[in-house]
Amino acid sequence: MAYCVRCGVQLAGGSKRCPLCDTPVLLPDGFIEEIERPLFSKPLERAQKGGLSKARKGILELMIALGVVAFISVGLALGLSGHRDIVLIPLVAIVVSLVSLSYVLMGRQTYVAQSTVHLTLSAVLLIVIDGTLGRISWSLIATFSIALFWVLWVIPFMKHPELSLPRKLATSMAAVLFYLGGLNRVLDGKFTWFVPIALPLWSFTVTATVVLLTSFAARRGRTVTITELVLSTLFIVFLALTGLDLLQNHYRNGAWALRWSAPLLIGAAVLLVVLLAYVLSLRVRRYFTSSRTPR
Amino acid sequence: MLKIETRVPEGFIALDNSALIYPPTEAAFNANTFRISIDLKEAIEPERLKQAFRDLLKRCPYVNVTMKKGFFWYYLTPNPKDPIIHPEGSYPAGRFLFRENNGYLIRVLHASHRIALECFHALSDGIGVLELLKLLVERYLASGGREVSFQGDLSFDEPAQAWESSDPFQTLYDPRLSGYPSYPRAYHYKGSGSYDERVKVISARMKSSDLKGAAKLHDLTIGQYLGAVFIHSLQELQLKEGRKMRRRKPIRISVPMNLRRLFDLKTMRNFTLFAVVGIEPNRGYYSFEEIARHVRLQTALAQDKKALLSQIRRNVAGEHALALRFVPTMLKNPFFKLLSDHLGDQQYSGVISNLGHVALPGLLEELVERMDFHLSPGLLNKVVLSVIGYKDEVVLNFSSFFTTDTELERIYCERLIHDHVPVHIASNRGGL
Repeated sequence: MAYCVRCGVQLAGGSKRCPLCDTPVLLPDGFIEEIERPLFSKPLERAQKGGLSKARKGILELMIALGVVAFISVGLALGLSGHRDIVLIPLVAIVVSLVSLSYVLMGRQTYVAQSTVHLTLSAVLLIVIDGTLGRISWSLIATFSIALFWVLWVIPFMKHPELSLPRKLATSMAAVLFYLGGLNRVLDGKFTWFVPIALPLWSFTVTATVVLLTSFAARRGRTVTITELVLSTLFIVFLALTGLDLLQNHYRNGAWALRWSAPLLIGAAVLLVVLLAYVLSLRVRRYFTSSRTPR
Repeated sequence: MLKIETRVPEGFIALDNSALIYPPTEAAFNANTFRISIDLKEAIEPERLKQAFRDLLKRCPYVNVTMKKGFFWYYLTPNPKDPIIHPEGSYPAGRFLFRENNGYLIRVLHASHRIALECFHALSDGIGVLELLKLLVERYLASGGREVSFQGDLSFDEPAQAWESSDPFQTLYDPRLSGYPSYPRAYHYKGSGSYDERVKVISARMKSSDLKGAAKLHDLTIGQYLGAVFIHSLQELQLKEGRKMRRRKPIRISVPMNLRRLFDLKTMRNFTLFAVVGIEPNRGYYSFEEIARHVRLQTALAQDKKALLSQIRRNVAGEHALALRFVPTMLKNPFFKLLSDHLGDQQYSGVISNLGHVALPGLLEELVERMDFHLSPGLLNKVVLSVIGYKDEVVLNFSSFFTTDTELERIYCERLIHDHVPVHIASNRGGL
């Protein structure tokens, strides 16, 4: 009987490889080994790919058959009744729903795969509807929104080894910038509010978030408390809102003044003071109650 | 005090307390089954085996049952159908297809030299099924003119006793006791590559004397030593993942404990609780000696009767709670699934079930080639370990859902080799 040169275990007679480490078994020329009875009566059959059960297969076939019938009848009905200009809309809708439902029925797909397929199908359907009814306009905004949703809610769940957390965060932030820029171009045909309002606000939020996260990451031996996290998030959100009000007012009226954000800022300041007092009181209490070794 | 009278339909056999969780949580990746098999040196005759199985069902009416989904609970009811025996497939302890088994919760399998019993956990636990296997083998050999008698509680000469179908959990339930705490989420090895629902087995066979020697070196019993090696292997895997020390989740293994001996009560149904034994790797790396010390102390504490009774109180109180009793099964099922994860799989990183040493009667010493015990893995703990001993051998069967990943098994066996325990490996992974 052979031994695995890597693991040191004795292998069942007739083994070609070590089941533990996959190291091949090399026997001297002419050495005949007694073959042991296998562990089970039958060899392990191949895994079923996709895991499509009989019931699912039946439902899928029925659905495709119904889809084809619906496709032909709707196509013929609209074509013969003189509505050829809009025939594409129901036909594409039928195809999209068929593909979408079939994909769900195929089973065992991950959230990432499912959401990617369904979001792409929705975007295609919206563009087709918009394009059929006239020129492509509102569907672009919808497509941008779908793309943004994908970046913000699907990419974070991807398990690609090169997609580290900082990269995912950077992609999300870049996507928000592109979305705002794209929205501005589609709505106004050129960059109007994007450069004076969206860009500085985005830059401030990104810089503040990066500074905050870096300072948290640089801490050693101490975890970040929830109070600190809430405090800093509120700080960034209130400052960004104030900035939005300020920039919006300047863009519209040419004046650097606060409008709706003034009471918000006062409220935020009060909240900030309360939370700071809470953090401070904790520290003071800890200072007086912690035991110190006498000198 | 308000007393609610319940009407029990004809043929209704309530599931025992620990069996309640198994039917609602049964799924492709949570089969809740196990297999015990015995390999003889002679060829098996299927017809004789089928007759022996029929006799077994007649002798043990609590096995001659099928499971039904009632409005409030799953329940057992006598099964009038003829039993079927099946040829062995390519892997053990897979999902139980009740319909293909005429509704029985126990399956008899045969291979050229093997008799195996595969059981859905709602019917009985490992100890109970081992008794049934002994009875089946006795009956099978008797039909060939050889009288063999295993050491055990059951005998073909006596009719079924009341204790055989009793639920000791109800006897031990004391509502005055306090509940039992649950543990936070434990580490789970995610593995590399894909997984599928076929159960891949790596079977490690070794001399029990070698194993005893290695265990004695660390002042442990064989069961404790095997548990310590499991924890050690999981720690090595967690270490490889490169997580920061303070973020490392606790490593705990679940060790089913046979309560029959502890409480001096007998039953053929489930009567097992789980000892949860582990380490806290966020406090640093544990040497094998440290792991051994933790395992030794924690297994001793786990057998504390008061703690066990408190655990029983928690489990049975749920069954007795009015809010749960009168909720329809359909609504109860998702709750049981959550409960099973929360109080079960999530709390531990691995399962090691040890049936112990099976004493063979004199005639069988020569006739038995090997014995095996296999558990079905789960979705969270994709590799589980089952142990059985016979003659001077111990067989460790690793059941896994992973298609190619065998890291846990490799580290485990390497540790045994390190402790001077020669290991013989066989597998259904296609190495042959």
